[in-house]
Amino acid sequence: MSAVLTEMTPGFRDAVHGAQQTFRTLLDAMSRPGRIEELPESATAGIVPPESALGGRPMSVGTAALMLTLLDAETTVRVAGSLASSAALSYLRFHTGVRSAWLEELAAFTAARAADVDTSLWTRLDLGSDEAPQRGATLVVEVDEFGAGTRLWLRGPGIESVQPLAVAGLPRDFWLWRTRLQPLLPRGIELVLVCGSRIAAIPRSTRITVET
Amino acid sequence: MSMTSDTPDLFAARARRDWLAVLAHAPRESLQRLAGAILAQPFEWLREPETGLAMLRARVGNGGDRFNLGEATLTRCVVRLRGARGTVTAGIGYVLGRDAERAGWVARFDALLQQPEQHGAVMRDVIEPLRAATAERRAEKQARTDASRVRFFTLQPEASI
Repeated sequence: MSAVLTEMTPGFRDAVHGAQQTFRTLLDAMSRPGRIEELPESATAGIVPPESALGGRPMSVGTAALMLTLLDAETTVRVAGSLASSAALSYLRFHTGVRSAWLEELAAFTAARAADVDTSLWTRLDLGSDEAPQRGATLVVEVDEFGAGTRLWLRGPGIESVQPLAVAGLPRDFWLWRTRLQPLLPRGIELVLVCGSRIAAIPRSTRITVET
Repeated sequence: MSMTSDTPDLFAARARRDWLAVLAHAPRESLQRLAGAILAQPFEWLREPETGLAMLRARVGNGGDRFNLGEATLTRCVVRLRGARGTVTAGIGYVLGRDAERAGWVARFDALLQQPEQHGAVMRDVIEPLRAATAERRAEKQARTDASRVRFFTLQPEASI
C-alpha cells in the first residue's frame, strides 16, 4: 500500500469543484451529441494522470478527469488495452474508491484507447436490458483526433437537424456496430470520445450515419 | 520507494500500526503543540481531509457473533513527503470525529516516521511522550472508576458428578 501511495499522482486540485465542472461539461456534451466541448482549465488543473502500461504515454487529462468524476465506490470500471496498468487502476481506486469489474461484461464504465477498441471489447459491453436499460455501459475512448478520419452524421434528441462529426482512430467496424444498436433502444451504450481535454459524446439515443 | 518491499515487513507494519494508534488517541492540544515544529517541511496532499462514516463492528459478549454497533464519524487524509535525501513517503491520518486539522497532523507525523533519518527523533520527541500521556490519562481514569467498583459474589454451582 505504501509503495503504491508514494508513487500516487494527484487528482483534482479541488475535488468538489473540479468534479462539478467536469460533470457540467459532460452534461453539455451529452445533451448536444457530437458537439466538441472543452473541459475547463480550472477543472483539470493539478491532475497528473497515471502512467499507462510500461513505458507508454500516460492516460490523457480528459480521461482522467472524466473517470474521477464518474466513478465512485458503487460503480465498476474496466480499463482496457494499453491504458490498463497497475498505476492506472490504483489511481482510480485511490481517488474514487471504484472497484475493478471482475467480469468485463459487468463493467459500468470502460475506458480504452481507440487503437485498442476491437470486436472483443465492444461485444462485451453491457447494453442493459429492456427492464433495466440504465445498466447499459458507458464507453470512454481516447481518440486520435477530432475533425479527421471517419465522418459521421448524427441525428436525434439534442440535435436540431443533423450534426457532423469526424473522428480519427476508431475502426469503421465499430461505427457500423454502433449503428446496429440503434433499433435496440432503450438498450445501448453511452459513448464519450476524448482527445486531450476536449470531449464529445454520443448517447444511445443518437442515430448515426457513417459516410461511405 | 520507501521502507517497503514486495514481501510486507510485518515488524514495520506492526510498528506503524502502533504509532498511528498513539497519534489517533492523542488529544488535539498536544498534537497541535508538537506539530508546530514540522509544518515547514514540504508536505503535499494526496487526499485532502474528508469526513465520512465508518461502521463499528463488535462481537456479542466480546467473543460471539459479530454485530454492527453503530456508525462513527471519522476524518481521513493522505500526505506525501519528499525527504532531504529524496526518500518519498506517504503518511495517512485517520481520526474519530470531524477535526480535519488533527487528521492532517497525524498524517504528517506518519510520513515523517517513515523517513529513516527522522524516525528516531520523532519517536523520541513525539510518540513516546504522547504514549506516556495517554497511559497516564487512562490509568487515572481507571483508578477513578475502580474506586467505585462493586463485586457481587455468588456461590459457585456445585460440580455435577
